[in-house]
Amino acid sequence: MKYMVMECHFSYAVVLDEEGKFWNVANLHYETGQIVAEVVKMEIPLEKEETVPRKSNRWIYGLAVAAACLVLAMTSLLQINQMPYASVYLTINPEVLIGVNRKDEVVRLEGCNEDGKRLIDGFAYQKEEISRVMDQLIDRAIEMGYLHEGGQISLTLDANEEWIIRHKDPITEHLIEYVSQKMSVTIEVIQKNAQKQEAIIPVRPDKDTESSFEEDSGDSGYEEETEDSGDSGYEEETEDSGDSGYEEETEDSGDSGYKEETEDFGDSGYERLRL
Amino acid sequence: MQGEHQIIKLVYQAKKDMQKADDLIRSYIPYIRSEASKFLSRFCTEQDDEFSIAMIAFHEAILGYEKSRGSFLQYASMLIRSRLIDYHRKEVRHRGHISLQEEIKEGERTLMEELADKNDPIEESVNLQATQREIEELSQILPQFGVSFSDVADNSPKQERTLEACMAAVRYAAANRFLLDLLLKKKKLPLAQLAAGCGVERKTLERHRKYILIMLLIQTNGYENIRWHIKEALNRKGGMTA
Repeated sequence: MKYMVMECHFSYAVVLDEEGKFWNVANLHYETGQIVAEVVKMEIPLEKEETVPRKSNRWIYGLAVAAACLVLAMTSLLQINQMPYASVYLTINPEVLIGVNRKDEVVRLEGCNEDGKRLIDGFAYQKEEISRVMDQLIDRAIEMGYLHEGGQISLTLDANEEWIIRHKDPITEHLIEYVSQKMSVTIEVIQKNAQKQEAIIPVRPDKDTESSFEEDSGDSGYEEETEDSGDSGYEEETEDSGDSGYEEETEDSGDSGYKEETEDFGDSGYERLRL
Repeated sequence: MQGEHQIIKLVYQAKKDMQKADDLIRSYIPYIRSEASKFLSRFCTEQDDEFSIAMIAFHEAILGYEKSRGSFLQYASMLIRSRLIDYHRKEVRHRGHISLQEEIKEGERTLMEELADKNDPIEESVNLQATQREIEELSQILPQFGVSFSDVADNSPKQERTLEACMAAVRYAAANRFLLDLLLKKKKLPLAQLAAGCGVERKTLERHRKYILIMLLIQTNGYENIRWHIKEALNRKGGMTA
């Protein structure tokens, strides 16, 4: 069978076969008027040709829709739990806003930039716990090529202090544990609108730790050192670890605009971060 | 949730509008390319056939997507993968066959050139240009009748019985030129006369009116190369010759 190319579009072409049938086919760099012997025909999963239109009791559907709207309206009035109580901005390069309710269930998901919108396209998050949603978003980001080895994940927490104190560490630890199974990246946790507040992150002294956090980030993120997990792929950056491949731009990681200085309290084993 | 709604909204708009479908596909080129690259286990360029296959699969996903199928991107990913698998299976079947582009001896003519020795390349080029002019002219007339080639592909009968019924109507019109003149003058398909004249149910002709319309236009003057291409179909049962 030979096909005459009648029209070329970006993603497909229209051809006419010798039997007089027109087909939408893959445009394999065709030219109008060209005769080709093999084509890849477009196959639409639902065939609409020659179906007999069904008579429907439309009023039933209308009634069902009205009833559903009423239930929805009633339910939404009672859905106080759906109001976001805290927001977490997950930034890789796509930036995504994750809104959670008091039960730490995700109630809002929004792409803050074009890549963020693409990242969350078709993503179902209702009633999911925030850590799980973050895990899935990170998986998606890896799959779509946004996150790769040596990349960076920033979490900006926008909530009251009580929520941040309760959630910051668990979320951070969970994220480290999850991402460390996949690749080595830099993780940065920021508290939005922090004003001269302090947060103490316990570290374990006297152990060679491998962590994706840097000791001298100095600008915006919390730092955390983990135990030595040689297999995790995380590296601890010191001033001399020029070969780690991880670099933090202290001047330009300007998501938060905050600069932090760390003070080494070698005696206590804690690092105090002034926000 | 807003993102999901947004893409679903775009998909549903693209279902009805080929231009919007193209725009949506363009905006997802990186995604399409990454799916094809994943399948190939190497970077897929726009020159690769697999890229074109992935694009049409994405287009199929747009046209076939329903909300009940879940996430659109996951559905598209699944379709892209299955189309690429089908394509590769077909390619594997052709392995072991000699390519017509293969040179007989290094630096000498290809097999295709050797076999097509009797065809004059200049004549072929002239034919191609003439065909392109015909198609260009036809595509400029179609909007006057409210149709496009893409519409016709969707409307084209695929079952043999229906195709034959439509062809019977086309042959009848070709044999009765006044119907073609009526079509060109009034910019409307003379369905009643066609149904009465060729004995095909009007309902069938209505259902494929865009297809019949374009086939009748091809029967008017100036589309010899296109008619030549479908001469077998037109000549069946002693119809008008191309």
